Amino acid sequence: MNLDEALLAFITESKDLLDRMEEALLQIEQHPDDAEIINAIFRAAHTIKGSAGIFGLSGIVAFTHVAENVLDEVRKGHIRFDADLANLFLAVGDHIHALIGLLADGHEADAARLAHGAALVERLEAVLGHPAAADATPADTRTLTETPEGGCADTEHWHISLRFGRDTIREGFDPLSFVRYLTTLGEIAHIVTLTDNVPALSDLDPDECHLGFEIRFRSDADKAAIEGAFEFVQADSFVRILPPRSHIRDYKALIDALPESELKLGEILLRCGTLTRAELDAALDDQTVASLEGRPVEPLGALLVERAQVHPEVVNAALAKQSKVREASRGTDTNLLRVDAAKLDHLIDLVGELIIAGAGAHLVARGHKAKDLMQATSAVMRLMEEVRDSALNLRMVQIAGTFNRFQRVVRDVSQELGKDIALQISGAETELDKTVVEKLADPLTHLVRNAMDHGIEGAERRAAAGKPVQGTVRLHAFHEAGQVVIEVSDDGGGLSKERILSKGIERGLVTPDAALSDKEIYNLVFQPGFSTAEQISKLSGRGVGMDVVKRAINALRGTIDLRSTEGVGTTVCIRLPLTLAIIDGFLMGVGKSAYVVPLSMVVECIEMSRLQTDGKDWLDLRGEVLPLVRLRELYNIAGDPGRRQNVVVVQGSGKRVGLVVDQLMGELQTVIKPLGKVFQQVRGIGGFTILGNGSVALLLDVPNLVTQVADANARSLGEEAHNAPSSLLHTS
Amino acid sequence: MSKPLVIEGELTVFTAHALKAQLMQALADAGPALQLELSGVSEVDGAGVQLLLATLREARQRGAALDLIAAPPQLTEALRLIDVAGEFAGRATPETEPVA
Repeated sequence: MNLDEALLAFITESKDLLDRMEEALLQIEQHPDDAEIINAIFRAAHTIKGSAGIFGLSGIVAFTHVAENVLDEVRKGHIRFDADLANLFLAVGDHIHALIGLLADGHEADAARLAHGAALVERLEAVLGHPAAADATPADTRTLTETPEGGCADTEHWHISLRFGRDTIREGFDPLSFVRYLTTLGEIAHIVTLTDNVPALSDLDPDECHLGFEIRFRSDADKAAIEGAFEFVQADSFVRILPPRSHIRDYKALIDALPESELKLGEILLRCGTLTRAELDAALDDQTVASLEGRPVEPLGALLVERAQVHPEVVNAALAKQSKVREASRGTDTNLLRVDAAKLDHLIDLVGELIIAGAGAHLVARGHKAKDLMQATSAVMRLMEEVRDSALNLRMVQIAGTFNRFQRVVRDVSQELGKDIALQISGAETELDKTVVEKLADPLTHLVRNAMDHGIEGAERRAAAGKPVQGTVRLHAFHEAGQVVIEVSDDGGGLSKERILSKGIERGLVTPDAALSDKEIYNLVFQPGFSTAEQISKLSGRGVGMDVVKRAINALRGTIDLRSTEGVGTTVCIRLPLTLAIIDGFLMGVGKSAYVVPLSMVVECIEMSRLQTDGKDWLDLRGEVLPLVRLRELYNIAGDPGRRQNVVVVQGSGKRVGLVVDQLMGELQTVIKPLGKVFQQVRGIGGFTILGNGSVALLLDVPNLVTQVADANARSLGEEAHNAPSSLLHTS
Repeated sequence: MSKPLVIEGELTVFTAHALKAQLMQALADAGPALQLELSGVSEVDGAGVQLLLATLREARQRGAALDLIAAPPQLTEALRLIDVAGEFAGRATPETEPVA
């Protein structure tokens, strides 16, 4: 693992930890004294600080350090975790998040960010009861000597921990030479070689390095000079250098970071003379934290009993609790594997190719009428489909991650609005494609904010309507018929049909005499241009209307619907395909070309001869005008149309058009591939797929096509459109 | 007690593989104690020290003892540098004391 990869892992891990911290912070308001939640918060800060230290990210270390101090006081029961503190820590979490975000983008924190951090540090210091030191950075442990853990170690020596990387020798370095070099910088007061890490001879690869040292070092050199000694091995090896008189806490962090057991390390530090027994005891006082992190706790337990400080029963109980915690976290965390999404995509891509190739083989076998071969290929096909399903499954993630983010959104927004609103989440275990989940965050945020801002009424109005004063926003997800359904609902005032309709008429979206169903009226809010000035507030305004939400959902090949009962509430229902990589398609032929549309968008198929109206580009479909798109003309396909043509009625962006094609070729399940860069400007084509016989079929981008046609019709059909207004606005 | 294994020349990463095979064989033959005669060692590095540490561990696992005999100055310097000389001194007798 090179440094960049390690840093990347740190960034990902930290973001995870921050998410967990936020989750815990949101819980703590209800349970301010729950030790486990407090520990979870502490652990997140602690781990981030520790890892950031390894990378020398002093800004993050410094900031997190202060936060950790406060949390430590909380854990000790000196400070209570009230709502104000939770608020402060949410801000702290955001700030760390921002710092890590900057790191990920390779930017430095700017002055504003730093000032923000300093302000937070000041608030944290105030909580601690320290006056904010004017010039000292919070990283400077000397300003923190009053923390109850006993302050700084009383030693004039540096302490250096070295664990060489496996490849150190192979890369041409001699571990001894580093120690020798140290002797030129100062004097090695004591060195302990971790001989236990060296395997027995039969297990030893003599090229691998298993050596590690703990060194107490006397030197007048500065840290940079000492660090410089290990510059060449720093990437692969573990090097920690603690200056003289470091804070006990830092020694503790060192013990935590090293792979050996705490007790052993503690003894080594004693042997080195770096710490005194009392100082070590102070450091190991933090043991609870470490054991919650999944380290073996037995040695400590034994130690405590030995020293007759604790009754065995108490230790046993504590150990049982800790191992339970460990078990639980193991269940969720350690069985997971982080894989680069690109690798996964590549695998799915290959599986897609494999299926296509397999289908081709099957076709050839059929062509040769070789029965045994056909049998063999069908068996292979079946297996390949299973492989495909499990490969696609790899991309599936629970929507819980996205849903839980809204706890914070709802909390913040309700504070901003001064409304009391609770969030209810159900079906969070529902799985869907990772890409879809990621792209859902924005539209969902908009919907939730919208529900809170416009949906839920103020407290008086709620009370007057006989509703509970606390409003509720619900996020609900479930699987239905091969789709994922996500509902965002509120128990607010609902939408007034009359007002929507009148606004729709006012905006020119419908004509006054149009007969629209309730559903059609509600779905007017998704029309571009419906969002009005009076609707834009600080929160949900932002110039983004529901039409943008709808477009985002459509881009995921999903649909969005709204239903509402006045006075009772509103529910927005989003339906999404399980995955983007594979679709159920409907195959159509024009001349020698083949086209695919997503099956979910096909409304019906009509035989053309019966209804044929020559030359017209619309069709009277049970009294409604259906614009026609002749694919033969649209794509300039040579040859004459056959005598019998078919119309495939498709629906996209809430409008319907009829696609005129030669042949209906039935359903297929297919892997969609994106078009190359050259074709990215082509409108109306969403991708392509390779058919079993090796030929290419283009995937029609129905919403885009429909919009194109609607625009063209609106221009050319001016008069006609007026006579049949609902045709262009046929929502369903 | 079998004859001491005589190691000569480099005790470094370049000879470690060959020495490992020799040492394994010697351990198999040695019985309760293996003696390494090191007076001919000309050069030592970290890989060499690690090899000795691994041999010691292997010997202990087999219940055997390991004695270093007549270690030259460059070896004792290396062992003292990282303070592992004591590891090999368990059964040190005046005769087997490293010749410093």
